[in-house]
Amino acid sequence: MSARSRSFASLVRIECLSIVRDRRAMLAAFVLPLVLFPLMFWISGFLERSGKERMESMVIRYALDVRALDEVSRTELLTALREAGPIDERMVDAASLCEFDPDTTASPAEAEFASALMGEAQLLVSVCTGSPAGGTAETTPRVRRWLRSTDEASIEADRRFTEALESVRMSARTRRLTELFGTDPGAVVLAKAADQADPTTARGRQFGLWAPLILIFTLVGSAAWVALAAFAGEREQGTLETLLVQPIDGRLIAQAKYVVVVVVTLASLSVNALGFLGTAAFGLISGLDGAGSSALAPGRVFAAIGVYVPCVLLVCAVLCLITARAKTFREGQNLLLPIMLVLLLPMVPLPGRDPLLLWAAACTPLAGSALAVRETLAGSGLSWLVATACTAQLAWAWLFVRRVGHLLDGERALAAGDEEREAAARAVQSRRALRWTMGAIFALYVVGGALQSWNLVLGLALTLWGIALPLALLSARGTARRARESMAQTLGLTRVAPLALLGALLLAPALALGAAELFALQQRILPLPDGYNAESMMGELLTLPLWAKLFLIAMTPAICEELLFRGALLSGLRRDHGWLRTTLVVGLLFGLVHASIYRFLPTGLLGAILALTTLSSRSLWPAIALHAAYNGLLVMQGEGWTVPAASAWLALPGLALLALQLRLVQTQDQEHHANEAQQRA
Amino acid sequence: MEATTRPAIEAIGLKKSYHDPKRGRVDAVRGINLRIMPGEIFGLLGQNGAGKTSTLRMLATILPPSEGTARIDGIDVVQDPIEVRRRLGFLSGSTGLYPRLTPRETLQHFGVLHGIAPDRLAARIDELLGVFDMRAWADGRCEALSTGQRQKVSIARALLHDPAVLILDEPTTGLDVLATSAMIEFIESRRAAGTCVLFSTHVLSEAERLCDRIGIIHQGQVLACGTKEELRAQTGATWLEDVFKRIVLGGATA
Repeated sequence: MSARSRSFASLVRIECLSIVRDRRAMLAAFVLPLVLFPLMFWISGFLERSGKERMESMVIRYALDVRALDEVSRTELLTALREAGPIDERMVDAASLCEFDPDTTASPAEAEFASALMGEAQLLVSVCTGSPAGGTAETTPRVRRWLRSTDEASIEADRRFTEALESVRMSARTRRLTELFGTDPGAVVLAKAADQADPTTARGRQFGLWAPLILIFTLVGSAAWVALAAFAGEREQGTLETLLVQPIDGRLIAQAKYVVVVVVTLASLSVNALGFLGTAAFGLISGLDGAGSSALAPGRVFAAIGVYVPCVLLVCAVLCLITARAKTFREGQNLLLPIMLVLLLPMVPLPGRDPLLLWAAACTPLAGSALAVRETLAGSGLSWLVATACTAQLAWAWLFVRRVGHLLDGERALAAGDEEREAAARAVQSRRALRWTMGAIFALYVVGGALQSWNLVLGLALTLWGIALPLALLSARGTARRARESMAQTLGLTRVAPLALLGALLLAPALALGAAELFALQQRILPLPDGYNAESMMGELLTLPLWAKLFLIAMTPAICEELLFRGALLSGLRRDHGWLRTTLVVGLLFGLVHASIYRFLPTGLLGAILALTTLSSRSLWPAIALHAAYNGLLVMQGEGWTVPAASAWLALPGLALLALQLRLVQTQDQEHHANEAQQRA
Repeated sequence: MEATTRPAIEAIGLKKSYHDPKRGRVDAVRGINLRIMPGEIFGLLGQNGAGKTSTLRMLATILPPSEGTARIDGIDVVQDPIEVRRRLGFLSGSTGLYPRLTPRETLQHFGVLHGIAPDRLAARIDELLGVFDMRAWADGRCEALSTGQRQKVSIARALLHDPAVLILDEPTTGLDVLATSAMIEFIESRRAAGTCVLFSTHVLSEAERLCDRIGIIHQGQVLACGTKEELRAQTGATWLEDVFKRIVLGGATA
């Protein structure tokens, strides 16, 4: 055994020993997962049984006026009531209640009269014949009931009475039919449905719906403890520095810790599955009788854990990355609830079985594993889907696991306190811009929404010119002051090569055509509800003359929204973050401001493209031009124009021009830096 | 002869700067030069925040220097940190132990990390348990040990691989009187063993008692360096406290 592998084994052994000797960790990682299901089902079963027994043994007091029923029905009704449980019946005279119209809401007089008749009883029943207002003669008896919905016994009384009445009605029907035809004529078409589905599959499908939710709880519950002990604990107990002066690579230490987290978590999940299978075998799971419990194949449960392994790798890596940042155990613990909530979201079972949606889900982190678990438990023949999901999840896991190795880098691990403060200080500009934009979005939702519901045309103009524009300028003023530059520079209202403007404009037809394609794609996954279309949204905007439409829908947003999102927000973000994060955040917020789940994807994408245009040209003008042209094309499409499909090719020279501009700007930057360096020297 | 003239610790123009949100760029260490010989006990004396910990961490390869170089036993800390760590024992006042491991397991673990062969490691652990009188409680958990006992485990851990250089960062911080005096005795015992010891402290009496040479560090720079006699002669003061004050205040106003 090489020294390196001996070191690795020793690191793993030490971590495992620490966990095994830690009662709290053992409790969270093994004991709780084992007893979770037996306890949960035993308690819920116990509550259900005892509740049912209590209800059945409850003595119900009825106040009945059933004189209007015929002899046979009356006897049958009383027999059925007595069979349903212990009762105490009292015959009353409720004839006066028949005076009231059953179709109108109970008048105070009726209510007073009924409660006097009810007295101590939990249910008052009166059977009336004839129509109330002395209209057309009617022989069918009308049964009316009075109950108190706040009283548990009263509800039980009503339930029992309704059941008894139904059995009386059925037997009366059968009796009459037999009288007329000698046999029930409906019986010939009665058919019994036989379930041909494999019980294992049926059970698997049923449990597959909520298994991912339970799995993620167990996964985070146990992995978080171990990760906290391995990373945050090391710092808290003061052993990190010692570890870092050992003659081994820091990556090896981090990897060993990660392996321990994964192994313990998998063990914990297996224990959890054993607890579940045991509970099913003892018939403790309600709805799973003797035959059902054996139908829950242990093989499938463990196969489900097998396909869950990539998700375990991913979540463990994420937890390690997070807990390594925490300086103390408690600080790490505080992070766990938000993490759990975030991780739960993609575990929610997907509705529908649209193939596009399924494949998209398979490639989404966490959701893909939830899908794989579901399909494995159901044993459906979608092995390709499961394989794809597992591969995609492994790829995601790899992205995060790669970073685990750098967690125990001395500079970061020991100076993390300084580094975090430093990062927080560095991000001042971006956080300021974000706060302003979030505030603006809120104002646009609330004030803008109110204005537009008052008057769509004026409201839209006021929202953009009166809210978005001033807020953009205010936000940019702060950024400009801090950075000691002019507001025009912050907003990107700087001179730009005409070719870059042309390049941006050439992108517009492709974007307009792409938007239509995107809309068609979205319709498959998230169809628009009925009556929700462009016409209904635009309303009175459609009646405006063309020039007004172009001004309100194309020019106004192009100027105001660009100044807010690609001007103030983007320049703030870009100071502290890379181009990718800046683009993503700008796109996300631009999607959010449009306040509609149906418009989120197209507007978010447009926002990101406009952000990239601005970043590549270092100027806001191309984005304003592109936004105006794009919205203008949409308006013209509404006028009956069609954008020729071939015009999408214009995007190619457009992109080339923007790339040229980017190259130009970069060269200028380099020259600028070189000059500065020369001056300093 | 070559081996004896080679310094055990050598720092040339060592600098460390980091970014502080309130103060901007902070130069924690601003060009430190040190030459410490094998068998020498060197004390780095300075106030809190003078740059002691940053300097020692750079020498111990935990932090990369921003500028300058350092060599431990002739090996560069940036180019071959792993080899440096093999020759280095490091201990700081805030060092902790794994609470749920026993002293024996702790020593075993760090011995393996140092790549000591299994049979040699067993003998070495046994030897250290004897030297530090730890046998009676070597198999109980560290969390149940007293401060003095924990300190012995930490020292034994740092000596496990018989390092040529010991770097101790405020080793007596947080210790009671008895444990402090045990630590001082231990440092003194290293002189006989021929180990080079570099330790930092802000306690003057410790430095006065132990050190062959003292370096006075202030605001990331070594203002004075020499034997007690040399420092006294340089400043004209008798007591080390006055020596320290004159050097630091003089350096601050200069």
